[in-house]
Amino acid sequence: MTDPTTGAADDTQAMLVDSARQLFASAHRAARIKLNSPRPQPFDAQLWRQMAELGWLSLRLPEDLRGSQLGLSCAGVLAEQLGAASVPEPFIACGLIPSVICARLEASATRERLVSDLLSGDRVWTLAWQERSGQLDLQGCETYLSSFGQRLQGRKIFVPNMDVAHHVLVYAGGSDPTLALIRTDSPGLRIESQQMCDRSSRGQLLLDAVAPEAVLAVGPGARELVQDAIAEATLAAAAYQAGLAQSVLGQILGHLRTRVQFDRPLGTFQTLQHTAANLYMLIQLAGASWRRAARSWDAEPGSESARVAISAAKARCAEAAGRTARAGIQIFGGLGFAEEADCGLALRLTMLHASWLGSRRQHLRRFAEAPGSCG
Amino acid sequence: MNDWSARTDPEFRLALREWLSKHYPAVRAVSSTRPFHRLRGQEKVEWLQTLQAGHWRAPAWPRQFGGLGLSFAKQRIYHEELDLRRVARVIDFGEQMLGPILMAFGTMEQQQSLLPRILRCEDTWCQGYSEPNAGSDLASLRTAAVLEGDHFRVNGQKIWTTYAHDATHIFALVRTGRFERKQQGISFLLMDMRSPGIRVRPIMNIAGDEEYCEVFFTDVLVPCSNLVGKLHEGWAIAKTLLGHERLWVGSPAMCRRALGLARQIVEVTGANSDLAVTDRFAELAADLHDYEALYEEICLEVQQQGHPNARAVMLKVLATELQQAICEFITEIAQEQAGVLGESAIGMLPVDIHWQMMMSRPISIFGGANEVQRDILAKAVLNLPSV
Repeated sequence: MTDPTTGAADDTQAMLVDSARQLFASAHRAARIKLNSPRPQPFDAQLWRQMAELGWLSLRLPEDLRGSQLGLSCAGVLAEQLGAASVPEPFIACGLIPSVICARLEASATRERLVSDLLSGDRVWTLAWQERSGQLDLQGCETYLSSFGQRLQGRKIFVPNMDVAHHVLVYAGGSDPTLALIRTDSPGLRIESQQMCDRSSRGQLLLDAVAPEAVLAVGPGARELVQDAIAEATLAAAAYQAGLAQSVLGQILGHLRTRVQFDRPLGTFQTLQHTAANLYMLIQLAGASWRRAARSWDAEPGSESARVAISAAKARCAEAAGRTARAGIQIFGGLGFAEEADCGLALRLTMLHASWLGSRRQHLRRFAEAPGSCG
Repeated sequence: MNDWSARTDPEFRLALREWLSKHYPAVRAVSSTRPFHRLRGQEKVEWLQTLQAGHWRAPAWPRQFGGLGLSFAKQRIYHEELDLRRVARVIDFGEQMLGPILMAFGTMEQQQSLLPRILRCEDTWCQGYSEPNAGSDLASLRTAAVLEGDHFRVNGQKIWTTYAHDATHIFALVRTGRFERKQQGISFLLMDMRSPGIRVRPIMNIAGDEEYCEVFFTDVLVPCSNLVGKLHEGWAIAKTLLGHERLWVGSPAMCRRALGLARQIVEVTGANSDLAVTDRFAELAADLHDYEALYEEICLEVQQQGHPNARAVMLKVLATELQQAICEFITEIAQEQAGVLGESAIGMLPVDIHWQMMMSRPISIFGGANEVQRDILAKAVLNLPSV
């Protein structure tokens, strides 16, 4: 049974919720990524190490790679807590994605380095896969590894956390899909950065005859493991937004209970009660949707039905977070429009997570196109 | 009679499925023209008697009262199988409302005399709650029952009384006293519809059916033994949520039927090449998908806690409004057929666009308007203050 206050379905998940809440209460302040922060700090290396030591970055690694071998449902529970606390550290992009990939790599010195970085949090890994705006899967990737001389050629966009990444995993398409590792200071690599809504940087990588440090996977298997890592990240991005929405609703309810106008608490006005009730119902749907998708993935990883459910979840959670954040700004009134309050930040984080890894509209279309998804 | 508690859930499902395939007349199954069909009148009585004869009646009633005494999980299977088999729904106030109330609040004598008659359909009941000036604000009701020796004298009027013209009996909330709070002084009374002084006038609804009625009471004499529970304390009885009705009302089955019809219409009209249409269909399909996930979570909660909690209030709101949204979509994509009154056809598909639209409207009104459900949610679940 799912605990309606935490979303946890079992003891392991309840423990993850507890430790996440404790850690973020002591080691994280959302103020550090706000617009009025003189020195924005989207990545706290110490917090990242603590997350690694708690085993969160290696959550999806099997036990024989010293991971906790937990399911995607657990990763979702954790992502939801990150969202609820507006934590910017790249658990999804630089924890979940590399660990899902790592779990399926063949043994090598590189894999050993990746495992040890996921366990210690010392160095950050990111994945460069996307080449077009609005891309949902790996179809049509044009970056390639030349067969003569083994050089990477092409362009990648929106590569997460390029400001802190030490290692970049590059997916090269073509007839022989390849996953290669490059250094951020490789000759022939040019990086153009954009600041994102969580104050992190995403990079456009221009690869001109870049020599990989290592080739980690080749062939259809390489494509599958990258595709699955993206699917898991999509689910986690959904859960992150469900957490954002819950947190904003909590703030809204607190405000409605205490703020007095026209000589009565705002929460006594029926129109605001119904707004709150509608948001609550939407957030319940969002939670149920991502949990169902995660359970389905855990039962049958990579299955079409789980992918379809992940699409539904990504669309629903984006809707829930966006609506709740916008309603929060309205209900808090003048304060809601102030950067000092937290609603604006929630909306900003939603805009980042709702557009990353597929928009609501794209996921709804993918959901409806799948056979058997619509009754 | 079978004791299903000794059998596994899959065995139970199989047995019911097999029985239904033999005994549910296909002619009464829901169709593309009547996707939300409900049995009534003689058809309803015959079907309930068939269930009774086959020992499949009253899934939630305990065995000691002649029911199946099913666990929550098996009750869910029961409802799922009926929906899968496209069995038309039945509103049986005797089984669904009065029976559980009598079991909790009735005297031994009331239980022994009335419950078996409900099961055998010798008595068919309707529910007399709403009045012309007491709808969502039910406690403002004024139909008066004055105690005169060993009987009550009842005067007043009920309205929107579903199937009153099919019923032999009515259970009603009546005013027996005036106190500080209007919820006090309401009593729960049973009446024979054939009593002198009761007059029923059917009201045609916007689908063209006569499903509900006005019921007038003029000096109707009702024996005191027909009082359920204590005098003046009927409000608590009516408010008690007995059994799992809230969950069955929130079943996604009707939405599933509506979406199935929508899909058929999209296909026969060729609208599946229209991106605006397919995008809207995708939203509705995802709405249903996510609602089913939430329904599943809450049913699991109830299964483990043993009783529905306040969160279950949202099921009715979500399910009814989704069904309405799908019916609105159907109306839009049916184009000119939406202007046809009665049955027509889109391609080879028989439809009645008018009927499905009209029948999707009352579901957000009956059983507590959705506005009232949102009030409850705001107070009971979100802890927002009252005025």
